[in-house]
Amino acid sequence: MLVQVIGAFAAVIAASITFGVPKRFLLYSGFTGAVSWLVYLLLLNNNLNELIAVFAATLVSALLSHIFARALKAPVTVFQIPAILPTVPGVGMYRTVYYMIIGDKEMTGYYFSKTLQIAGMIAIGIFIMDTVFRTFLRKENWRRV
Amino acid sequence: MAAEWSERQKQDYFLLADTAVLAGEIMLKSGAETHRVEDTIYRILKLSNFERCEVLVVTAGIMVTLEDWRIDTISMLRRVGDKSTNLGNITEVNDISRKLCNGELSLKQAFHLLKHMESKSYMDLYVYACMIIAAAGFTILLGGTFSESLFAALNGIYLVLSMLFNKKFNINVFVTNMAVSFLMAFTTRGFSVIPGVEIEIERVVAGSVMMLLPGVAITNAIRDTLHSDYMAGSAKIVEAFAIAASVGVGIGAGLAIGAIVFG
Repeated sequence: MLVQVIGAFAAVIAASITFGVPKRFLLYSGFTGAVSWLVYLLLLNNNLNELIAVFAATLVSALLSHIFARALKAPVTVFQIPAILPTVPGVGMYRTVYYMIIGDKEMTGYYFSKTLQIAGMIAIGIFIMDTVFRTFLRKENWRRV
Repeated sequence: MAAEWSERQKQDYFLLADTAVLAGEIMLKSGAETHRVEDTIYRILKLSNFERCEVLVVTAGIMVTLEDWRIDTISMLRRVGDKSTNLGNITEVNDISRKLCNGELSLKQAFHLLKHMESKSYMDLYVYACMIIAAAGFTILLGGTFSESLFAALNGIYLVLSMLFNKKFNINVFVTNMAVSFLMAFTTRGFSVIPGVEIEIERVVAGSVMMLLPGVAITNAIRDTLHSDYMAGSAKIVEAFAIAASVGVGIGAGLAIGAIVFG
């Protein structure tokens, strides 16, 4: 699992560089991605539903992104976009297509809806954290962030 | 109070509108959320203290109007075409506009900085190396073995090639996505039949395809929707679906043809 988290750290930093994230923020975005992936793996290992794991991981990454954004005076998306990459349902999409090719309609439908659900969970996670920060931290300079 | 303003003051307001629109243009091009672009432009325009500063930003362009009884109305429209994600530019413009609104920068300085802002991203070679590292890293993150990540790194080369290709010929992003994911799935399928090579195609392909998936579009769609900009939100959701579909079609075709060719 440690290897996977290190992989997440490296992958997120590499992805951040391709997105042009400034050098001084690279470690923060890598950290955000690694922590969110750690949360995901921990929850999954404790036999929790994948959807819940994705949801919690996104919440954590969104929370960290907002904190970093405020502390470092940068847009939230600088941390948020690279950090959600590990949870984006690439495997689900692969399986959907794979079963489509085999001709297994049932599994295709199953993985298709699962992929959509995971994407929805990411959406709801970001949504909730954004709302929390918008409502409770109004006095701060939130519109900038 | 003077009824008419001097020519020079009028020019200052033109410069203000120019600066605002330029800042917005850079942000929109770099893939910022629509509401953030609107907010930035509005804050800059508000420096004029005019009664009417109107901004409308859609995913394809920017419209700005400054209206006051002392000057002729200033109106500007910018169409923003090809976009490429550059979070560094967004940060930079954010910084400049914040300093301008705080009074740390004069209008002329801010305009100068924006005009001469090179996209401060990394060296090309660096970015290419990172694409390959990212492909390998995402495979490890999905639980891949060392050899699987090596094959993913090979797939990462396709990402680099597509970037080089795009620079030269400027092809539709859906077409390149489809081609890249096709090649990835096809070659991985090919490698998997080589005796002695034990890889799980799923992890290699899913890991290397990660960089193509619409993470940016999803994030921005959500954030725009939350700021009740439904037009931009739904446009980006459609974008996310289209990108995902093109990658999916590529993988599917690659696997199917790979199965025929490699048995």
